[in-house]
Amino acid sequence: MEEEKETTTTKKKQCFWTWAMASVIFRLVLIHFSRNLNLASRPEVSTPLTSLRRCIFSLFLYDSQTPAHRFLYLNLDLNAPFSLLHCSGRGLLAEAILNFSLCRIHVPRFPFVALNSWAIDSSKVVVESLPTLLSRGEGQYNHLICSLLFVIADFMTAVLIRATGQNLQMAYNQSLKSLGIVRLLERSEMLSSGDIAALVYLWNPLTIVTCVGSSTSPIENLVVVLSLYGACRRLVPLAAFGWVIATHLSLYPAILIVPLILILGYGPDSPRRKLFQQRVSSKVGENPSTDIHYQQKELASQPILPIRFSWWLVVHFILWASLWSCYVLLLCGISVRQYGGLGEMFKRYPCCINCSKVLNDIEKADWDNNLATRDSHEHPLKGSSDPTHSFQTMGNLTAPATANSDTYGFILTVPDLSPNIGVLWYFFAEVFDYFRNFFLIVFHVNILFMILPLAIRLNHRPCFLAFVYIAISSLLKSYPSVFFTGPVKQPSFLWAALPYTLEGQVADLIPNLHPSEDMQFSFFLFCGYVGISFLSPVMHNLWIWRGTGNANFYFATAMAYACFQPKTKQLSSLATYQHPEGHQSCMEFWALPWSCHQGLYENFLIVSTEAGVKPWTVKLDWKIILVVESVSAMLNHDRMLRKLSIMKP
Amino acid sequence: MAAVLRFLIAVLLFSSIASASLSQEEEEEFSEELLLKPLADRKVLAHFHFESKAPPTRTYGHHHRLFPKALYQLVQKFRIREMELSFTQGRWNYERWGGFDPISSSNAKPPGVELWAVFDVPHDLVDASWKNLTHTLSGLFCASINFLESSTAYSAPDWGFQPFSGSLRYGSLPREAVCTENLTPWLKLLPCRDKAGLAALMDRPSIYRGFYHSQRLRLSSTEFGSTELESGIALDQTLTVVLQPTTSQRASMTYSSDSVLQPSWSLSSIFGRKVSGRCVLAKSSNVYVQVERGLVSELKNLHAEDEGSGAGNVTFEKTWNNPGFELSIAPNRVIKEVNILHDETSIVLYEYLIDNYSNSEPFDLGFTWKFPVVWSSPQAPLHASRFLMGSGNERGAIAISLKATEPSDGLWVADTIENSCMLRFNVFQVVPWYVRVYFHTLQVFVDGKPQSVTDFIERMRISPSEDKVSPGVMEMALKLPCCVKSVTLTLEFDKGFLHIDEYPPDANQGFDIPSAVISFPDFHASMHFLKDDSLNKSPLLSKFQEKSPVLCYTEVLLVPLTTPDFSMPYNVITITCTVFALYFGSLLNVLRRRVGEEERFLKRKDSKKTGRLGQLLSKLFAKLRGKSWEPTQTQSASSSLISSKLIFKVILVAGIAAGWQYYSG
Repeated sequence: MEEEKETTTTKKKQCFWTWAMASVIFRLVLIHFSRNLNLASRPEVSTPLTSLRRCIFSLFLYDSQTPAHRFLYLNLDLNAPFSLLHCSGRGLLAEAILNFSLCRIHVPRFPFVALNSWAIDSSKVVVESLPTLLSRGEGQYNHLICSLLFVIADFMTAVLIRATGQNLQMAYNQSLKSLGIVRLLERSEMLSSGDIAALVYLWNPLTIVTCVGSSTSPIENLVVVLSLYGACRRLVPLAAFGWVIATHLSLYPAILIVPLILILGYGPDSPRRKLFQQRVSSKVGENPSTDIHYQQKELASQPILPIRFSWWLVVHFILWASLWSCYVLLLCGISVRQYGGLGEMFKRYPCCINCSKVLNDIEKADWDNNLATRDSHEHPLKGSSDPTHSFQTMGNLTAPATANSDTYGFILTVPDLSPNIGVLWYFFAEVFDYFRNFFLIVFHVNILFMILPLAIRLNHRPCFLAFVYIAISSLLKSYPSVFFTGPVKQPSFLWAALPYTLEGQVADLIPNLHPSEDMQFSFFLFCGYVGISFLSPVMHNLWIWRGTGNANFYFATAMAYACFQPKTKQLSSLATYQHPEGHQSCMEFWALPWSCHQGLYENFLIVSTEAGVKPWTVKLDWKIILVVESVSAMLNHDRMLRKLSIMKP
Repeated sequence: MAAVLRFLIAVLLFSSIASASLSQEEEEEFSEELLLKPLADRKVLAHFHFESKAPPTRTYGHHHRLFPKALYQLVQKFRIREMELSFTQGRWNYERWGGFDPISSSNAKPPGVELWAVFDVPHDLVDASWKNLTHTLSGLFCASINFLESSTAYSAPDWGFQPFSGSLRYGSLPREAVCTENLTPWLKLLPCRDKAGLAALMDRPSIYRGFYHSQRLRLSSTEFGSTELESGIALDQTLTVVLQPTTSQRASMTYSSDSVLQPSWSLSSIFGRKVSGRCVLAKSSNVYVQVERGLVSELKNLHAEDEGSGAGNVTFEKTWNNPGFELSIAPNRVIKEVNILHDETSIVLYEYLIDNYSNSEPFDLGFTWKFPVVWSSPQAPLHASRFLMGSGNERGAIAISLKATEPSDGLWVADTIENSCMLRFNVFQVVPWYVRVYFHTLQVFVDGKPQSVTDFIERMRISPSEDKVSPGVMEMALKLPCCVKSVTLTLEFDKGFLHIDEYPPDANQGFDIPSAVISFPDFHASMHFLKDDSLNKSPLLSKFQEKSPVLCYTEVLLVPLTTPDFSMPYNVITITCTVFALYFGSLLNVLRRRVGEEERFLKRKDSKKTGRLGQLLSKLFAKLRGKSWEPTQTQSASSSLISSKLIFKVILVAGIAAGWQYYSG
């Protein structure tokens, strides 16, 4: 038996790696045709924040801005992974600069921070590929290398997800054991949720589209996952680093500090602490009918429960986070100093800056350095010794060069109204200027408002909490792309949910196959999602390219998308878990294609019937998306666990 | 007594005369001139030039006789060193009307309104002065110049527009419609308005019927300069009109060759009016007829054919009645341009003094063609045109195409240093922020082949646009070998999306991108005349003699932008808010739900221990419903209990009510 198990696990491992490699190869093949696919200009893929084109433009500006520093730049900035990849939007010059300086100094210190091997590998990859990245002759960049970088980022993210998922699963198993519901583990054929989540992430069509469409979001995603991974593994500096960089890159991950602290404090996953108390009290109160021997054994095996909040780690984390952020700010300050100081980054957007214009005097030598591909060795010298250089600097002196760029203001005040799959752009294009600030506050407070209640309710499941936070912020963020709002981010955090779905309801693997408690319902959801995902490009095409459609049609699809928010899928699949009893028939239905996992399914049913869980009618308010279902599902799951532990027959 | 009075008067008179003679050099001046020029494509160019000069305030004071008070105050208030405002309708046809003469390089303007000004204020005050200036001018000229106030509309070019422009601000409104309401205030600045003098020719219908109409106002003052040489304020007002003379019957006569005789014209035929005398306030009032270089050479050939080779070459320029054309009135003077390089062909100007004409004997110059002549106007080294590429409303590309023209001999003062002929030119382009130009996508195609940008661009200055704050400005200095036939510059852009209020009323028409300016710093359009005192007195001719770099403007581009739905902003707001409310409410509901359940759980526990009555009632109710009562209740039972409790309460109340009714009634 055990041998068999071992072989199956090794098989699984192999299976995972082959599938992962296959996905990478698939991406590479797509990248080869990416020029024909022309994905980079799709509004679903590239937003003002993640469009690589803008990123390169801002870099171009940065390059041409400081010819005097080019020497430095070429020598030191070669190891700047995010510089080219993070798009700084229209006026986000500072961001690019910042990333430059940031990464320039970070990479040599990577071993210092005791990063895991992946991070170091990434830095190496980036260092190698950057000279070619820089080589964008005639305003072009080396598309292949750039995309390769994104593929690597995606792959790394998947690997990190896998590692985190395994970690989570262990924690979950432990908590189940401690609750005495070990039977659940024994009966179910354990599918490693990490593998599944990673594969879902890698094979999700939307992830692939984003990766091939060369938007910079894979990098942002990688950093977020990095921080969560670091927290799960209790690598405090890594977690802090990931969090600081993620916040710096796209601001919204700032709210992840709550789940990160909870992960570090309570561990990645545990049932509610009340459960243990209840269990103990119930044991004391009602004489358990089960055999005492088993109970004692279980009690013996039950280690000291990780209820205590480990303050030390949290303090450690905060210290590291402040250290990293000070470091980042310092570097920003240094690099942005000549463009108006650090204040530029935090300036509110509509500040009128008339005199501050970016002035670029580009001369031939500089063009050589900037645009033309040439080998990078000669240029610094050439540039500095160029006789025309004096003129250049003179030009810069005469006109005070200040880059007006408000990094975070750009994210928060939604000045760019180009269409994306979110709802804010159209809203702010139509809303009366008088109310603009009000609604800006409302939408952003909506994100912040849910932090506390969710944290209170889900503090025992910090990973899931992180997932919910990201889902909420991706719904309400200013420039969402398919990568963040879509199911893509979800699978990336599927591992957060997966362990709870009884070690992988395989239906989750197919993002569009919706296992709901109600067949008609799931069918409707599925159709709606598919319909929208086809209608949205059509409407976009009609409106933008043909000029025959109306903006309202496109906005309607964006709206419906926000409502359907495919998250419902995985999440409501969680929800289904809660009502097995009354809905056996439909459960059978969706389980049928996956008859191979019949055992799992049976076990699931048995458990639930044993538990006697009454179907808590999850009002799958599918219109209101996403998170709601997942949260309710999670809460129900907790409830069920409690019942399992308390009312054990 | 009378003698004393007489003496006093004499003294006063004398003193006044003396003072007048003293300050004679610093007197206000006004002069009016009109230049008429037959164009190669059967049209006539009429160029009115009015110049007013005010002596420096320091010596002359604040009160003026001739100089318009409004503009004097403007200059004083905003400390303007130089300013130019032009209202233009139609596009100057560089190919046909010439691109290499003083008129085309300084009077050919982009469609709409163009305004630039140099201020003599500290750097940080320039923008404020500009804003105030735009508002004042918009009031003065009944135009929407005040739209140039917003920082998205104007730019601060460094060297691309004019060399060494420090505190210069440049803005243009391509879509401004120009009409008489702009001309009338402009005429008001003239001392005689359009009541007398040359301005009386400006018959509105005939002026606005033309192909091109550009009214320009240029101020230059040395009031605030630190230089010793103070010349006060000079105001140039020009009106350039290209008119199509009505073809008479004679003109339709065709000659043996395919060429058609040019239509003959006279002042009264093109303007419908005659000059009935000069403006009495004007120092000089002249009319010039200019014969272009190309025409002169053609006529010379004609002349040679007529009179045999070599004969009459010297006297040709002096004659106003030659085989080619005939002027109805003998000119007062014939002025010939002195061409340094080539003596044979040069511009000829016929001068008429309006002083000699009066109401009874109005001036009506007639220009009669006798023989069909075909000639061409001098061209700028490159002919520029600009167009859009791409389709759809998401992105596109701007292309500036420059084609080398046939170098008219001797005009190209090519830069022949280093044995290689290089042609330098600057491109200055302002792009509004909603056209987001990616300057890094700049590509240069030389003779149709993509080339490295670095090989041709000498200098480049970019000020990237910022949403709703500033436009994108690009200044480029290019250097081309002379042998190049064509150059194309392309820049890609994304189209931005505006707020619903930012769209103009006719949003679907599209947005105009102002003209790009192509300037050739090495080429100067100027005429050289023989040194003569009388020439210097004519402001128009002295203007022609000034060295001015050759400029040309490209077309205005019309960029269609996507429009949101203008009809129902409320719907969008309400639907979006509803969705957010639903999200918020349902999430809160899910989070809150547990509390209720917990309470119920506790209640049940409590009721188990104490609530005998409740148990009894539920038992009773179960009996009533015909179900067996289960002591261990699941969640659903508890929920059904709640509902049964509710029903029970209702029944109880109903029963009490019925009892009350029964007993009391």
